[in-house]
Amino acid sequence: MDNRNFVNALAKSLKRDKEDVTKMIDALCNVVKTRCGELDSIAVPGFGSFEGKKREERVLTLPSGKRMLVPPKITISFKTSNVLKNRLS
Amino acid sequence: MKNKITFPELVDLVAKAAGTTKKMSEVFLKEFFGTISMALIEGDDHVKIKGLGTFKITQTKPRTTRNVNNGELIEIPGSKKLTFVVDNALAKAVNMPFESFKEIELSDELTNEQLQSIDTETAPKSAAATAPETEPAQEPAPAVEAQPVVTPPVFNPPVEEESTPEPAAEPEPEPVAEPVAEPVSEPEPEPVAEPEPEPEPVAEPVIAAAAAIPQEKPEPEPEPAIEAAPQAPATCNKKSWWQGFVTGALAMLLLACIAWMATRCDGIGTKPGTAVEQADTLAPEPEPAAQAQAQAVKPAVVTDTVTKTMLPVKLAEKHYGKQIFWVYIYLENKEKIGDNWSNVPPGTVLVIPPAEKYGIDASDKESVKRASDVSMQVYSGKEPTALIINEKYK
Repeated sequence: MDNRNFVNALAKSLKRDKEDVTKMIDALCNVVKTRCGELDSIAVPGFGSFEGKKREERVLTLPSGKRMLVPPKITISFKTSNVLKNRLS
Repeated sequence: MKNKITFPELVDLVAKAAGTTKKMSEVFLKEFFGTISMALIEGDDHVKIKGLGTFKITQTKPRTTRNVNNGELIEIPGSKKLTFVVDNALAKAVNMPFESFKEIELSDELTNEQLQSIDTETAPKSAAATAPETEPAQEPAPAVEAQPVVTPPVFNPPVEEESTPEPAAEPEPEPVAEPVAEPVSEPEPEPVAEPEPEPEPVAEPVIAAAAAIPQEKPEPEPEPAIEAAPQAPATCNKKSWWQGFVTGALAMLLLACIAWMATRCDGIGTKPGTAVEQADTLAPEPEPAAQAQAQAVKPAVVTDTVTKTMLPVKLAEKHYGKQIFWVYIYLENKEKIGDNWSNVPPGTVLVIPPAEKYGIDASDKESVKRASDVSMQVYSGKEPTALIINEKYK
């Protein structure tokens, strides 16, 4: 399901404009961005949880022998809820 | 940081961000995730949401393995697995504090030690939750300093703290050691906390970028520092506590050594009556020069034994610092040695006169010259006489 289809489906079920729906999706994305940027975790019951994880900087040794310093990074990881896992299988 | 945001809280946050009521936000969120779930359950292999990411379904194939209990072959049926791939824009936005840092190639000059310090730094650095909260303004500046090796400065405070309690009160080694341990652990989190949780890049362009970013956005930085702190609080506290403990133990050991040495010195000096006996029993053993000098200062009789290797000249060197002062030992024991000053038999116990009697001072040229003159007299066969400097020995 593409973004377009998704927004359409959502607009239909919410009985709202596509614009409104898009606005709300953006708001959700912003919340996820700020919270996960703070390394918090957002739990949606029956669906899963989004968590911001920080990876510390590391020293990589390439096969060529060169050593690289990888800077730290914050990533968002998603963990499926068991409820959803069962429903899928 | 590491907070769990419940669904009601999420509803609130989204309502605030979108400018809608809580009820609308709740309905929206339920529909949002519901639609995704239904699409995936009903067979859609992916759902893409712009700005958030893509939810994908992967179908695993059935596989045959053995039952761990009875070794029988078992077929594990295939299943659907849900994965989430973040949208690029969102991933970049979340990584904002570290956005401008790039992978840099390390030169071979960097030792493994320095590299290890980078690894250990990032954990304790981000763990200092208290310091970044109180000093957000200072953080951008230290970030620019970009020192790859921070642990040596961390160890300096413990070393300095250790030396100061030594001359301090000996009778109370314990209370001294404890304050040493405490201030030691305190300065440690602070110098450790000041450098950013950001990496300590070696290359200049990265440092410049680091300077740009902290200046632009000082706020997100202290927060990730605070957020990242609880990730490794255990290691930071344990490390600094342990360092403090080791320093305290070392300080106590040193104090004990000093006290022991002091008691040894005291035992010899305070009682002249018994001092001679003690000195005689101690004399046959080679005494450290420091103790011998301490003894020489006090009115106690010092004796030493001549051996095959320890001739009078050597004894002079040992007790006075220069061989030339052997003449005074000779004079003191003239009856014993007689004319045989060049060939004193091993085993002869000689009295070592105190340095102040003849004004023996290895560092004083006058004293050395006087001794030299006396030695001339001895060599030429004349009857040697030496000026007794100190009144009380006349």
